[in-house]
Amino acid sequence: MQLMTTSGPQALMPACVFDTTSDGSLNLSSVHQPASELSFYSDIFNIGRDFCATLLTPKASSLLALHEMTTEKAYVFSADQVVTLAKQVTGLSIKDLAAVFEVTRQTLYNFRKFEDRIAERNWARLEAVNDVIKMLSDILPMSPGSLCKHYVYEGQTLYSLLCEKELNPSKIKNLAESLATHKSLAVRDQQYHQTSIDQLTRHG
Amino acid sequence: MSAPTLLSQSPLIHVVAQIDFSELPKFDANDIDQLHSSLFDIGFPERVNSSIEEVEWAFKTSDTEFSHQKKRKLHRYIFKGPGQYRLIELRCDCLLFKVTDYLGHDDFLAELDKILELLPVTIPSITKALLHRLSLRYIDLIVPKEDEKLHELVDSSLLPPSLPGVDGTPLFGSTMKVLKTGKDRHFQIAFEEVQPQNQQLTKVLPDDLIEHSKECGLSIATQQHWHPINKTYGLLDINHVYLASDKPPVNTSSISKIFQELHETTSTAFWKLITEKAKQSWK
Repeated sequence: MQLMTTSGPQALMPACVFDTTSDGSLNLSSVHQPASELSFYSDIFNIGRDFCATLLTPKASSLLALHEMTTEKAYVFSADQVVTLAKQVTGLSIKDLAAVFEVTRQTLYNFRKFEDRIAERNWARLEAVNDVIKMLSDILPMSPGSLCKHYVYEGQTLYSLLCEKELNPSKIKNLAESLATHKSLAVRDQQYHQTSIDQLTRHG
Repeated sequence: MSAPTLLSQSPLIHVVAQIDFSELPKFDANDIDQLHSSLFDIGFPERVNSSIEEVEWAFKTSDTEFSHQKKRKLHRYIFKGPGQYRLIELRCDCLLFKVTDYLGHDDFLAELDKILELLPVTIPSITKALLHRLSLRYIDLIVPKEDEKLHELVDSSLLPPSLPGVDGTPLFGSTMKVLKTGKDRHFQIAFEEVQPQNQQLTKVLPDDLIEHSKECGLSIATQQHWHPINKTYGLLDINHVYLASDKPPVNTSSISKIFQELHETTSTAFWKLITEKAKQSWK
């Protein structure tokens, strides 16, 4: 296939790809090269999307081709990313995370491998947990590890709050902030004790 | 949107029949193989497995909620005919039949009927799905010849404003209208005014019909006067839609009848939207 369009760095429009047929004539194609970021057409496209966004009901969906014709870099996640981030931020095991995502351990493994089989209600839980985990990543300087299940604040642990059917972001936030303070105090104390030990064991 | 026996230089470059239905369970690999085998026998031998990503946004509606997005990969099973002028695309929630070498409505509908006949045999679950929407869409590429201008070829009601009081160079223009044409029927018409670049056609399809994946694309035969081109040309997009508000089970025989009805209105509309000069030029 011979590419005939000269869609350079400042292409104005999405540009049709040309094909050369066996007899040497040119055919158009339904395949187009996308408009570049500097293109006026990208602006029009974004204006159209902004307009549509104001008309959307709170939940809306859009089909995009794998190679998007837009300059907007929207954050999207996959189930695998969600589970990985949850593990990194909380330090919980896959077995414990399965309870957070309200599935079995095997199903959680399957989430990461077969995304197209994830049911709608599981996606809803993935989204809800993901949002909370992102909030936790801003609050917790490091993963709390076992403190997730043992640090009690107002009668609950972080793990118990994450396993609740309806996640409560403000409760989780309060607990996480308290946990972060506790952890930083523990680290400081550890450093203090280590200093004392160093002094006691210093010779001369 | 014209019979080639009437217009030897027909501007019609793309026709799409689309059937939207409720999401089917994941396709069994054997069913897809059987479908391929059946389509192989009726002239769609080339199979392409592809996918697109569906992105869903949920917007924050209260202080306790978060805006978030999710994506999922949707498989597309594409079966192409010789010369890359026609294809069938099957997804979990729709079937598309796309052609770029339209031979007339009777041939198009006959071929679509063949596809619809073998679909329930190879993908039995489809008859249990609920019909959501049917649409029949025609894209015409209106390219003026050397002695012609775009506004001479289409009805003035289609054209975007010329803005004579504004000093500027045209980059792009578009118009759009939607009519209710009957119970559960919408007629959508859009027109785009496009500028060539480096004496070549740039955009030849509406944004949502543009294909990004090379192996899923179709070839479109050109006409002599389409290259070189250094004047404004147009895209005429006529889409007649049937919305199955009562969501009945998918019934391939009644679908065929509805497509026939959708075609009749679009054909009438097309002939009224092009000028006499256009009819003479394309004869």
